[in-house]
Amino acid sequence: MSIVVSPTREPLVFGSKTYHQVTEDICSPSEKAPSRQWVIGFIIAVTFLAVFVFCVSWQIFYGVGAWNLNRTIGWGYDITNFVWWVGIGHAGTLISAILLLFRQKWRTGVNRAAEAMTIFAVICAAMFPVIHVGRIWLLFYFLPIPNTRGPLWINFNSPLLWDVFAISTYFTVSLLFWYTGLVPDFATLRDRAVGFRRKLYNVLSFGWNGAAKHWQRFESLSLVLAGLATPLVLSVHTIVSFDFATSVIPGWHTTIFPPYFVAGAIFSGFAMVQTLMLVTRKALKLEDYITINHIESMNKVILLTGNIVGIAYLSELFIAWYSQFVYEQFAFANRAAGIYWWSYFAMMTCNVLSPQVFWSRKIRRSIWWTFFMSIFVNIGMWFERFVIIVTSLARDFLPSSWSYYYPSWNEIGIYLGTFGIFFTFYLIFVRIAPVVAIAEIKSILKSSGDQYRGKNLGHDTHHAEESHAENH
Amino acid sequence: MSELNQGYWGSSEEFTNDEAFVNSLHNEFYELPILNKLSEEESEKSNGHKRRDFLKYLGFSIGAATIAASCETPIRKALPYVSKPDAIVPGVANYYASSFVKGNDVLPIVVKTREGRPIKIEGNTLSAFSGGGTSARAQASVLDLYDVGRYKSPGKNDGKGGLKKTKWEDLDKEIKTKLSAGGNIRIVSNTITSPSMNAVIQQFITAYPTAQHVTYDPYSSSAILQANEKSFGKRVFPGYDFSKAQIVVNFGADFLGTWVSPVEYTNSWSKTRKIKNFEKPELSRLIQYESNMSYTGSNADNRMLIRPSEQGLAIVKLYNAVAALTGAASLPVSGTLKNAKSEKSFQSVAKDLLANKNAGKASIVLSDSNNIAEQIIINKINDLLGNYGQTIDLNNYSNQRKGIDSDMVKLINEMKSGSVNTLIILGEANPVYDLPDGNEFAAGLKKVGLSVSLSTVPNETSAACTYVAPSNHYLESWGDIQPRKNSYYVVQPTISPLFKTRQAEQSLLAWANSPVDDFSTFIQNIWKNTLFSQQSEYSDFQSFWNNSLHNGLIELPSQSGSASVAVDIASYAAAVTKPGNGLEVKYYEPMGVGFGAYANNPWLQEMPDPVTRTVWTTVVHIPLKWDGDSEFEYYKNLKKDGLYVDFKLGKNTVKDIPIVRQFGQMSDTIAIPVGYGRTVGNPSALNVGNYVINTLVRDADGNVRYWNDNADITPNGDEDKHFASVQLHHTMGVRGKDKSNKVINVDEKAIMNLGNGYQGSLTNRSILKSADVSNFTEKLEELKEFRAEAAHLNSQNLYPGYDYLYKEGHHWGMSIDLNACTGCGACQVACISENNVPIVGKKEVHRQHEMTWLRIDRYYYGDVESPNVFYQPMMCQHCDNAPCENVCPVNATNHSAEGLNQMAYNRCVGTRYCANNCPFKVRRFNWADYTTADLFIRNESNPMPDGESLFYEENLTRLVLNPDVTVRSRGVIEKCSLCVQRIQEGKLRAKTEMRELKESDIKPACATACPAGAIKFGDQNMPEGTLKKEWNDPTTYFVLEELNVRGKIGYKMRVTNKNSELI
Repeated sequence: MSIVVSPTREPLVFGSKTYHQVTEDICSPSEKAPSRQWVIGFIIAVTFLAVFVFCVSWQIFYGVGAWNLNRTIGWGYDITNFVWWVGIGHAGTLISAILLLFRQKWRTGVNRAAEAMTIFAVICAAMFPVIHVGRIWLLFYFLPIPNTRGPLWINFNSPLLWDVFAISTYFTVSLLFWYTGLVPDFATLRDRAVGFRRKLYNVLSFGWNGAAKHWQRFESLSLVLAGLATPLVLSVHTIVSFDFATSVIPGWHTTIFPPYFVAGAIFSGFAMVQTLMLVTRKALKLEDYITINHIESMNKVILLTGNIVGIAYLSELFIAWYSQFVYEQFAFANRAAGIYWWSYFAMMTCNVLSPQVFWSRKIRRSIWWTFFMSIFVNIGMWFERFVIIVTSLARDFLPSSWSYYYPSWNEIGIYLGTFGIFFTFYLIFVRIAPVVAIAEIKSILKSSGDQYRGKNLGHDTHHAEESHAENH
Repeated sequence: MSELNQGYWGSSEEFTNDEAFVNSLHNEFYELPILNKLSEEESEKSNGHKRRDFLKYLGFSIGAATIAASCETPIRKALPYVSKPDAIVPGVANYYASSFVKGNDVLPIVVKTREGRPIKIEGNTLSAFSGGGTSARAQASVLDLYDVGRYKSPGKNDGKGGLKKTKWEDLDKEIKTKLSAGGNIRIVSNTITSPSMNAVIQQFITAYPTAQHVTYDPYSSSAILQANEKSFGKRVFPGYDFSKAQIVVNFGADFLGTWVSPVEYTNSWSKTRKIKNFEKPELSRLIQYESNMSYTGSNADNRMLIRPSEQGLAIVKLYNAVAALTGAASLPVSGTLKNAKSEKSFQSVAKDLLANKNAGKASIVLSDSNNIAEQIIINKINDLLGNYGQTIDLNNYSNQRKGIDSDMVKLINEMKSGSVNTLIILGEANPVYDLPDGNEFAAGLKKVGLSVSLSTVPNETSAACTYVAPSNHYLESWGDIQPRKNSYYVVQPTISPLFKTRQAEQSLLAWANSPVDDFSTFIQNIWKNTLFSQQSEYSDFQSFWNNSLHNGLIELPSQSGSASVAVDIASYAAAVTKPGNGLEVKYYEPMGVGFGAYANNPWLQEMPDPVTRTVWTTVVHIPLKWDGDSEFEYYKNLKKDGLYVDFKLGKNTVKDIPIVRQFGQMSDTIAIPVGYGRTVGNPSALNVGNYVINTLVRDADGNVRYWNDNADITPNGDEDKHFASVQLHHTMGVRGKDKSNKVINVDEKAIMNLGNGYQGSLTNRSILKSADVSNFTEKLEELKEFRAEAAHLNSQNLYPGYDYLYKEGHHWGMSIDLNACTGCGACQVACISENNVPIVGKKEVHRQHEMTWLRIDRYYYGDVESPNVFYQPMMCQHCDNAPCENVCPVNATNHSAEGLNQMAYNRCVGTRYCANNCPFKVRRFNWADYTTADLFIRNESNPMPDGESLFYEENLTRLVLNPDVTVRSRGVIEKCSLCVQRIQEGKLRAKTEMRELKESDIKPACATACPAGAIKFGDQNMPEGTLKKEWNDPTTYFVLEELNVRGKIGYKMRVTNKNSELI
């Protein structure tokens, strides 16, 4: 992949790495004993996982009445969290697939972890549709399998059913894509390992031996999967948005939802990637591979998608006014100024106002700013889903049924518990798999490594060193 | 001959005991079926097990192991009949005409029984008295039969709250010994409408001449009886005929809800509220003078605010205004009413009344006042207006109120002085609880040698008596009622007594050593001697009696005569109540629990109060006021419903009553319902609400006064953590004058401040359509335009839909006349009873988990100070383009070919998407295991207040379940089915009778329960059908019609008939 690179491009790998150094740097975290930080993190994560298991068991035993949902508001934390986690699960595939197709080389530094995050986030998301039903033991009714339950079949008109297909397809393709990328890296680990670990990685690497034919198949498979995954990035959240867009409830029944949801998903996904990457690169000392330039690129995506989302919010308000339909107008007026005004305020502040700071290059390249902004964005995006789901339901057509909702201990426990699932998986992942795609980094080393780019940069050398310094 | 041989033989083989023959004797069939033979041959050939056999064994053993290991199902015994009773066909309901009797509440009904158990109460359509309607209380009474808290045998109170069981014979012996020992005997009861019961009491008094019968009523009408005695020489409660009254001026009587005979009154009043002429609608007018938003007041056209203590003044002022116009002498009066509008109103009301009289029409002026002078003046006003003989009938009087409060005062004094030796308390009478001086009664009771309670359920009084001789529930009893002088109804048992109880009449007969000791014979004798001779249709008594039992009634023709007040009223002007001071409190009887007697019934406890929409609680209604800008001001700055206040009156303090902020509550007044705070009863009565009856007072005549002045409420900073109200938003376009004196929409202006919810856009909602007679034509035109616009929008559709399917066969629908509907809730309880709707308890209602399929939405509109009220029964609209149906991922809810939106409970997984997407929010989710029909046995905390068992957990309670309707388990959605079981039953009946289906074959539970005839069910495809006719009515509209959900519940616009001078 020695493509001619514009001299104005900044290097993507710092530290004058040789191929061996790359292997050493990236493989070492999984070859050492776990650090104290990791152990503490893992204990916390597993504790939260236990909270999840307990709360879900209780909810299944008691019934959905363990949650504070009511006759008016049938979905609350459950579906809010579902949409939120699905949204987070968007960045990985976007980075791997769409950026691969667009030949964005900076993706190589972050794609592995982002994809892993996608998979874990989708697992967290998928928990909610499963546990939110009243009779979980009948969940197989959702599946289009031949049955003896009479002539009844699933209802293909229902967006919830589309969700089942959309999520499962997305999960499958993401998993394949992620694992495909891992195969050559597992082989690298295998070659360095002895004993049990060697056996483990031997199995995981599917007998990869680095033959040219393997590489050729690997490249074509990656490309095919990228082609498959690209429409999925757009379709999953489009279909999730159909849960709302195809209904009749004012505030849900909105044609703008598909693009708005997709933009929001990428927005929150990138924010989550930022949160994780900033911690990971520091903890695993991968600053040379996940550089300030990566962070800045992702901040640019956050700024773009944040503004798309902002425009979507404003269009909704405009259309509500323009429609002259009392229920629509009321729904939006109520969103902004009604009983849940604080959630709308949180959404607007976190999603639209706060990302505007990224117009400044200095802030885009600041680790602390980025970290706090990424948290902000995820809070904002959580509130966005809460606003859409809960405020619309709480004040719909008939004022007699208007109601109020706040979560029960069980709902909060389950939400916190999903972090337990997520981080348990993530921490195991960073222990056993290379967090940065070794093979892919190596493929761009010759074109984007600083030692190869340095003398070509001419006047920019000084600047490159400066940004290198920032990394440390 | 062998030993086997008996001495006779059938064949030579048998004779010789051939071995093959002896073996064949063990086979039942001489030759095995041919298939066995064939299979034997085959298996011989294959010799050994085949692959298929292996699979069979495998399948069987796994299946058997699974079943043996996992499926331990609880065993519920169902015993079949040994010999089938004649009248019972399993699966087919039997109906018996009877009457609902509880205390002084009576109503002719028809009881539905299935497999010998009563499960549902219907109205008796033959009755002119009720018009076939029922009340929520009558509907709920069937649950009382299966009340686990009932007395199960006679006994003697052990003084520690327990009952020492005895046998009836022993009890009778002990009581008779004590009775014959002499001394004063007193029988206490609420008003008895039963002629036979009265005869029984007479017989008892004959047997024990020292006995006296004392009657009192919890919500007393003593003053009316006494006033009528003074005015006309007859101590009777008049019969009112609202159907002939063009104007009703009402001072506080809740005649549509709780006062005396609400079903009768609602039935006749609603006849005058249905619009027949759409060019020029004719409606009666109801003008209500009151301080609180009472249920009847909420149905009034004009509501005028007066303080409770100003009622006397207001009545005198109305009299003077009427007298001025008729030339009668006026009364001296001083003082003005606090409310300027009310002060000015009397000229207009009098003018209205007189114009009505001069047009040859009648009216009614009415008050629930318990002040004799006020009632006499009311009588005089009615006299001046010529209402006696037209709308007020003293000949065919009502038997439903006979109690005189002062008799009770006398009795208490006698008891306290120790001169009463024996006290017998009949029926529901619970004086320890429901008298203002109940504690004095209790103190007196201790001095009575022998006290016997004949209550069916434990109550405060029965717990304080020495003996309990429990009576039957009315569904287990014989009896009769005579609510009006010329109307007689039978009470017949529909089930044998469930427990060792004996009906009160029988007990009295036994104690009186009556020659006729069987009460059913006793009644027949009474009817033979009194009624049989008054009719000419039947010549022999048996057929007369059989027919009366079949129809449940005899209604004799009556002639009402006019009457005039024969007393000089001048002396009474001074005796009316004087305006009081400070905060005034009005006590009212709540629709559900009544004066406490119905508190045992969870169906009624969970029936939302029509006005406050609260359940399972006492509330203090506090006034609110719009500040003319963007805020409401609440009394004592109590900004949230459910905050606790301490209610103080004189030396009595009632702690921790939650408040509701009440529109239409006059400033400086509050209202409190009585009937809560029971201390003895079953779990649903205990610890519910607060006891306030001890704060009532009696006036100089001994009559209980249902208001007080100089009251005080103080917020104590606490709140009811489980305050249960089913509706949290109340107004829909109330209007008022802002600071620049311009009339504006208060909803749009008020509460615009952040966080309280933007309330604008409320007026244009296509949910409520209302008009006044004055703007009727305009509003009708507006409605027509709206519907045309909606039809246009709905035609802009890409999809053809399925309308062509529904044009064939049946296409069910419903019509609800919002003008006839008063919001009483009978339909709601009927629905609960018919469809096994679970009761969830206060905490769950607080969490908005109520399960009712049918609810009655209540909205305020009009004048912000004294708004009009809109009641809207809301249930599944059975949309032909239903939003719930297409979103269900598993097809659990779908549309029938007859246009019903149906639920397949077995199929439902419980995503709740349908409930979210329902614009009417009528779908109900089983959040927990409310009916103990769940997979996990009893995993929920008990939703009932302080109960030992979940509602419906007891097998006894489960007897009330309708076997035609599935009991839903947790995790599934449920909702109104338009009583699909009744539709099916009607269709089958028509089919077995080989005829076409008539609309009258099918009536949903809500439609049969309605006392106003507001709900009509029918088939759209029936060309001359009722539904077609109702829907073609220009006032019909559909809620949210512009959404193209195509609902099938047509609503008829609510129209008021305001006196414009009073606005």
